[in-house]
Amino acid sequence: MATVNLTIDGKSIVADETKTVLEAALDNGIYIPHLCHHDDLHPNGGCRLCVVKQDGVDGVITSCSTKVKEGMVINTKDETAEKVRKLSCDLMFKTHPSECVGCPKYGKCQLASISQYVGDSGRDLRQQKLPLIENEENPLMLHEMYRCILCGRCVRACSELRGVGALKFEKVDGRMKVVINGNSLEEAGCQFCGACVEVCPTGSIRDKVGVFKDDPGLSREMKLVPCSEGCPAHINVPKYIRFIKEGNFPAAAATVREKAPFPESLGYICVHSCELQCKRNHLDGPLSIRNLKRFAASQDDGSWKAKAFQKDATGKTVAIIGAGPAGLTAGYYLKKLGHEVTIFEKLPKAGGQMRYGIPSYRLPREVLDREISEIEAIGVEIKCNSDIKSAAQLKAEGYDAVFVSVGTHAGNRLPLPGNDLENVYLNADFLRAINLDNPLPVGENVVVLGGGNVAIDCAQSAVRLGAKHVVMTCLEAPDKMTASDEEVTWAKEEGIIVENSRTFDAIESVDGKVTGLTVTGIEGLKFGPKGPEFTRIPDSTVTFPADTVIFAVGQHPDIDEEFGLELNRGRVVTTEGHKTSVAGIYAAGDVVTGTRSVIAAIAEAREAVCEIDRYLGGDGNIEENLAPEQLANPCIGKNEELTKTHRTEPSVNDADSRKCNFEPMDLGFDGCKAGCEASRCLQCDLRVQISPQKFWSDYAAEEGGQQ
Amino acid sequence: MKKLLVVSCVCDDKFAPISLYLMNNHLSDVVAGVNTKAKELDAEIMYLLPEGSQVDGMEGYVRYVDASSPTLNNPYAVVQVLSGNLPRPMIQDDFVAEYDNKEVVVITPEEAYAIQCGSEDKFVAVTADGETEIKKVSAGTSVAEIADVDGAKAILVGGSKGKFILPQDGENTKVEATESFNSIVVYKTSDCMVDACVQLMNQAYEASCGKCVLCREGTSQFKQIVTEMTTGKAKATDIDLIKEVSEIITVGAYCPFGQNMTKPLTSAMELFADEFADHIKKKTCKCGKCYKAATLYFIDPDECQGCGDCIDACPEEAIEGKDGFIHIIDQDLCEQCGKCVAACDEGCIKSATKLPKLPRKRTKVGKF
Ligand SMILES: Cc1cc2nc3c(=O)[nH]c(=O)nc-3n(C[C@H](O)[C@H](O)[C@H](O)COP(=O)(O)OP(=O)(O)OC[C@H]3O[C@@H](n4cnc5c(N)ncnc54)[C@H](O)[C@@H]3O)c2cc1C
Ligand code: SF4
Ligand code: SF4
Ligand code: SF4
Ligand code: SF4
Ligand code: SF4
Ligand code: SF4
Ligand code: FES
Repeated sequence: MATVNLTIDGKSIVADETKTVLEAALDNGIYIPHLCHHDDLHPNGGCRLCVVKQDGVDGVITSCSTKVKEGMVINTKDETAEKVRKLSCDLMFKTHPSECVGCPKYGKCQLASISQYVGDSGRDLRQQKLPLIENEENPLMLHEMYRCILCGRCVRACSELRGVGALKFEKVDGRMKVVINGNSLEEAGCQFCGACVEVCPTGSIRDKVGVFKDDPGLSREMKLVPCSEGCPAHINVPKYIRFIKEGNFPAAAATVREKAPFPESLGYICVHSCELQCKRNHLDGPLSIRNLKRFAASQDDGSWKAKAFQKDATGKTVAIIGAGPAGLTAGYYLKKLGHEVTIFEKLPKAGGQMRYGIPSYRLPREVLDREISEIEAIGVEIKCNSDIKSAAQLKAEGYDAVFVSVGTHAGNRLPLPGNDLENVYLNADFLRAINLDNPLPVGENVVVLGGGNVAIDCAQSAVRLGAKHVVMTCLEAPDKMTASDEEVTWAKEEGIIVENSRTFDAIESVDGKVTGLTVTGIEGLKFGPKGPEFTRIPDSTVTFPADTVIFAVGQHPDIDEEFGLELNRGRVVTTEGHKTSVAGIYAAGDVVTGTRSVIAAIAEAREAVCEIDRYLGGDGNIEENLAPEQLANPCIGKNEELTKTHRTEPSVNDADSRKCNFEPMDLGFDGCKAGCEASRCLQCDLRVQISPQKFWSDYAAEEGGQQ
Repeated sequence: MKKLLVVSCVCDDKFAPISLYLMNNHLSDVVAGVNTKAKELDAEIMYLLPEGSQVDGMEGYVRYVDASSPTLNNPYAVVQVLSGNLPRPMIQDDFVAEYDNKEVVVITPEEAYAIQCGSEDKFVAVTADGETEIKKVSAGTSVAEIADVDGAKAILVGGSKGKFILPQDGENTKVEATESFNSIVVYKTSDCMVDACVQLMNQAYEASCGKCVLCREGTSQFKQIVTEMTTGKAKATDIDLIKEVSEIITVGAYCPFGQNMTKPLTSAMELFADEFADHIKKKTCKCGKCYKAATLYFIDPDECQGCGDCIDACPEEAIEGKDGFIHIIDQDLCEQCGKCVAACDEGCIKSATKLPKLPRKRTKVGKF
């Protein structure tokens, strides 16, 4: 590439011939004010702030749209140029609120920042305030155009970067304005990509409050891509959805695997906290991210294996206690880092709650087996039927490090009369027994205590074991239940009756045999520090007939002091870096947090692995690129139908055919549904590609603070 | 890349409708000039005509657009209009304006005519008494020969981007073959120059494409300030303010329109300084054009009862006062709508062209 020599403010500069004078100056630490210029957009020349003096040229030149030329001599501090800038600034503020007080953009506003830099000439020009019209009618974004200084960045971003053209200039009553090219953004074909917000230097086009988290601790990427942020493992959701849209399913599966070794299992049972954050919640409902993942993972061809890292053996040994998702994830990455890993598992098979809690009609065991065998295939040793009584002792046996992930395998038993009768079961025992092929006997009438997903699993399992009448009862009102709406609906389809807002009084019995559960209606439920608080509704006590009662009111770790670690309310206490009270012993997953989710266990295990690796002398780096490079095309074009679509629903077996067996009931997506759903994604990550807005103080900082 | 030669008939100055004149009266010469240019560039040709216009005998690729702007001689502005947007120029080295995958080059009918017939002929639009006539003259002819300047007050040469001259200078102002001589507008002795500038600034505000701050906001400011000179709100310092700001705009605006749109105003202010001063300081208009509609409303301080009934009647919230105190109309805010007059049962809101002595600070009823 050819370069040219020029002088700016007395400094000799060599610049690429394709650069503008403004770019050459900024690259060399010379700040020229500029506002309508944006790194990613065509020059505009409208704000007149970037004008500079060129020797031998009358007047001033526009540095943002003038290319560097050999021998140019530029003075950025020229008196006339500064006059032009000041006047321009003055004029912009004549139609703009003169106070920033109350403006949500304050502190991040390029206009406010530049006006401080350029200063005000105090001329007696006329205030021409625009009417304070706030347009909040459109979803996701709001327009407060009385702050608009007509730099045209939004219009350019929408047409040049996105090829949409939903915004345009128009003269309204003689005054130039930026307006929507239609009655609403939707009608204008807006793709809700947020590019206009990202480039707007003022507070006139903004994200609505609540769309993105306003947490200064979040990286720009995590802030702008809420689904990835919502995922505990921060899986790159828009990237794999785009692969699905392109029909490259193995690449999508590989993208998931970059952050979690159970792509397909997660596709079946993930609690999908990503969907709660999805930007489309504010339009017509979130993307069905979990089902997309499931379909893509089912099409995995293993091509990622060629790209997976495997470090040389380090000679260090790590013992892992518990082969649930946390333990298996930790084992997988520690082995890849070159450490010798042994996983000790109490039960006959690996998988933890994915095998002994979550029923097989939700997660087919072939899927789980296949993903576990992938982990064993790289040399992770799993010793089943090995009940470890003390982690401290295991460490003392000579392991360099120990990782504890024993989960929560003891069910909670409420202090009710009759709670220890025969045919009164705990959730954990009941579900485990089914998966050990030795189910506990259930009678005709089953009552399940609890309103969470585990309670649903118990109730649906009871139906499948032959119970005729199944009642679920809980303290919470229908809209406050922790079970997801979808699962409650499915349960009801299977004839399960949900009795909300009840407190449990006693398990009734005759001759030591359970006959029913007595409950009383409640109202005003609150969860205080000492547990639930409520008022009993008089005369609302009833008894649900039952021969079998199942407690599904939480679980706790099945360990005690003998385990050798500091515990708090039965859970292992950890400090920063997943460290336990004993050096070299780390813990993560349910055993630390209480029963949460598979993906949280995986994410925490990955963090713990980094810590353990560093403890063993490694660099703690487990990041890998398993998916091919992806060129995300930012030019997405118009779409007037954007909000006319709806969340794609999976095919589900009907209640009659599913309630007599433990076969999978939710059949997920086929390729057609997956493609259709993937095309609903707003590709929130495209906004991250846009260069972030800079302030004059940023340029000064880059130059070691001079300015 | 292929080229597209656009013959823009939509960039004429308001005072110089020469493009359509040439298309209607010298079509064959224009077309011949365009063809020569197109051949030279190896370009396709498009004629860009204003919506609703009619050119007899017009053949070839014609597009009608509902836009007219002094910037429509700029290829990028033309592309914007062809794509359904507002015109906005792009002046940048090695920038290629593209339309339909072709590089756009713009030519005006006048330029095309000159290619065919040489530039000795100059078309000038002469406006007097509200009538515009287009005359063909040769370069070097004086303004006085083209227009009847006897008994005129001033002559605007060059339209919205031009300058006022005095009639006696018409003799030695010779027409050149440039855009600056496309129009001559004759102002009569009965015309008020301030009022004329109000019209000119309104036009400039409308013509500004709005792309750059200095021209967009500058025209808007000038329009307001000059209008205020005709209603009594302007200040003595506004003359210097306009001069100073114009100078900066002339240097700093993006395109030739913005750089020159201040000239009619500043030249008028220079040549008719007294007339402007009378308007601002004495609040009078010798020609009787201004201040006529601008009746000034005031509350008679001797009659006001201090009841406050008038306050709500004013949509501009220009009436100030407190119970028992003489109410005052803030002349800076008052828009002369007269709505307050009926609101006062005592009939003490009056109008005049000159304000009587009024209280300057809050004064109790009866104490003035
Ligand atoms: C019924 C049920 C349904 C659920 N449904 C979902 C769902 O749909 N989606 C979701 O994301 N999450 C769900 N969860 C939660 C999720 O399964 C857990 O959060 C997750 O499995 C925790 O992983 P972990 O590795 O920490 O522990 P676990 O999966 O519990 O694994 C711990 C392992 O340690 C073993 N172990 C225990 N003690 C010892 C010992 N002393 N020596 C050796 N081994 C030992 C256990 O046998 C077990 O295999 C559900 C949980 C339950 C109980
Ligand atoms: S947009 Fe910027 S300059 Fe305007 S009020 Fe808000 S913070 Fe201040
Ligand atoms: S398409 Fe993107 S840039 Fe255009 S208006 Fe919509 S959100 Fe803004
Ligand atoms: S809305 Fe923002 S980006 Fe768009 S023109 Fe106005 S100030 Fe510029
Ligand atoms: S629209 Fe797509 S990228 Fe945006 S939050 Fe939802 S899934 Fe993620
Ligand atoms: S000077 Fe006026 S007409 Fe020219 S680009 Fe700027 S705003 Fe548009
Ligand atoms: S002007 Fe008339 S209406 Fe107003 S306060 Fe005086 S008396 Fe009352
Ligand atoms: S940055 Fe150059 S004119 Fe705005």
